[in-house]
Amino acid sequence: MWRILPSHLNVLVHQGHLYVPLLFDPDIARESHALISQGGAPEGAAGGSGSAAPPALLAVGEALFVPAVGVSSLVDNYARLFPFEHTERRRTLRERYSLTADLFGVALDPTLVTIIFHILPHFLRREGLRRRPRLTEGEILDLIRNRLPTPYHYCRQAREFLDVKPLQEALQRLERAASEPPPPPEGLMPAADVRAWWEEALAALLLAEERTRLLQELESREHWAAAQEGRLAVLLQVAEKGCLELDGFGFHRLKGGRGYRLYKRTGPYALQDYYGRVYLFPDCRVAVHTRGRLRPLVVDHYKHPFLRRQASSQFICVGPDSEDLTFSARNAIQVIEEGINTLLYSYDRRRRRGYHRLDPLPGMMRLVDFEDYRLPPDHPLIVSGRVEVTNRET
Amino acid sequence: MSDIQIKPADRPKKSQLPLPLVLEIIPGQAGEGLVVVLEPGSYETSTLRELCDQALKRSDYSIEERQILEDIKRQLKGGKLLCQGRDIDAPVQAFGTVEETEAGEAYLYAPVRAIKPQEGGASP
Repeated sequence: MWRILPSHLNVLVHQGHLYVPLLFDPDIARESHALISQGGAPEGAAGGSGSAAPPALLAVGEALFVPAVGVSSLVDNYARLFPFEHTERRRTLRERYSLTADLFGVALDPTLVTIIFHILPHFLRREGLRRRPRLTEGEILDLIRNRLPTPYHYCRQAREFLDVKPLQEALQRLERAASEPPPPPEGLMPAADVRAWWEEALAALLLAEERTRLLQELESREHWAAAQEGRLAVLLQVAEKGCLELDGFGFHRLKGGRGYRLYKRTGPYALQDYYGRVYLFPDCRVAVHTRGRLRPLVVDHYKHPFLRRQASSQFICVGPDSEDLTFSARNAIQVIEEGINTLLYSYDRRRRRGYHRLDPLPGMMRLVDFEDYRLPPDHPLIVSGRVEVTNRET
Repeated sequence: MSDIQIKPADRPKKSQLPLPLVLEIIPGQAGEGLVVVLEPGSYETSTLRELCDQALKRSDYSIEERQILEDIKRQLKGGKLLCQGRDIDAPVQAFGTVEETEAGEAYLYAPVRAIKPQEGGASP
């Protein structure tokens, strides 16, 4: 916008609105002055209509001005209209106040926080059968630490992270900078003056946002400083690697920032067909993606009556009652469980619903064959109960 | 001459002695469930279903246990209780396995899952 407003051009700021000169046209000028003299529009910069809407036309001397834009919107909507330039200005400010050099804090993705502290505990099993209170954040990290080795590199990072001094210094530097945006100017002035105000107001807005961000980070780090360094090392490790598996539940970050894939292993299980013959199905991972609608899928190369073909990453046919759910801890748990329950407990050996049947009719063309999964009725895995026949009663 | 070593059984043997029963009702695929301990002599004549029904009707649970109870009841809307893939209309002795605490005390353990099977068979 500043390119079309030369610095020497006089503009008018009136009641929070930027007025630009009306291009001279003798007919329009005549009609406009006639309109103003009849009281159709207030004359003079100091004159106001008294209503919320800005006057459609203002005259200062012989010059006519028309409203262009609200001056505060120049600041407020800058990020939306010019996102790249906004990012560049923010980067420049961070450099100017040395905010980027000191901050090596781990940005904890809110989705990752939900997965670690709200979904993972649902699938974890602790030792013993004593009364088990709900796990706190620190206890969850302890559980992970006890089962997964933490490299030294993350312990060192945790020590650096717990040192909040650089962050406090950065905040002090910001305190010295102007925090309140100056009020918009008023009256007739060169466009350069309006631009100077705009630059100052924009910088104040960006610094206020930076201050909020730093305060949140400081609060977060002080919270973690109270916990043990080892717990933080675990968190840093998980945040950086973006993957974990415990007690058959796991997750990993998808490429290109497309969220996470959460999964739960089914373990081996067996299904019966109409004639009571047993089929052993291998372990597989039933997963959901955190982006978009939650739908259960089998990650591994797999075949099952409720999967369309033998392939990897196939959505499970869970039936028409499934809801359209988006990501939250409760919804993700529900959808993963629906997927597992479908594979393990939902094949009705009499009704044989699904894409495929375990026991096809004679002469029926088989797109997916389960003969290789068949076990003899006295197979040790079944007789000993190590592998459950999960659709015996469903 | 080396001593003869007897290999322990892979699976715990069914108990012949009166033992306390540890009944765990697990909602869906959760890792942990609602744990109820029954003294010897108080459960032998009941089916596992009767014991589960009694456990689910109790009202003296802690806040954490009540949350698990809610999860179980949610699964049971259209779902059922299964132990080792079977219905639970049989005496508990048919399901339980003998396990030991860290202190070496034996108990009969019966894990029951509240499962809500899906309809399946139609693409979502």
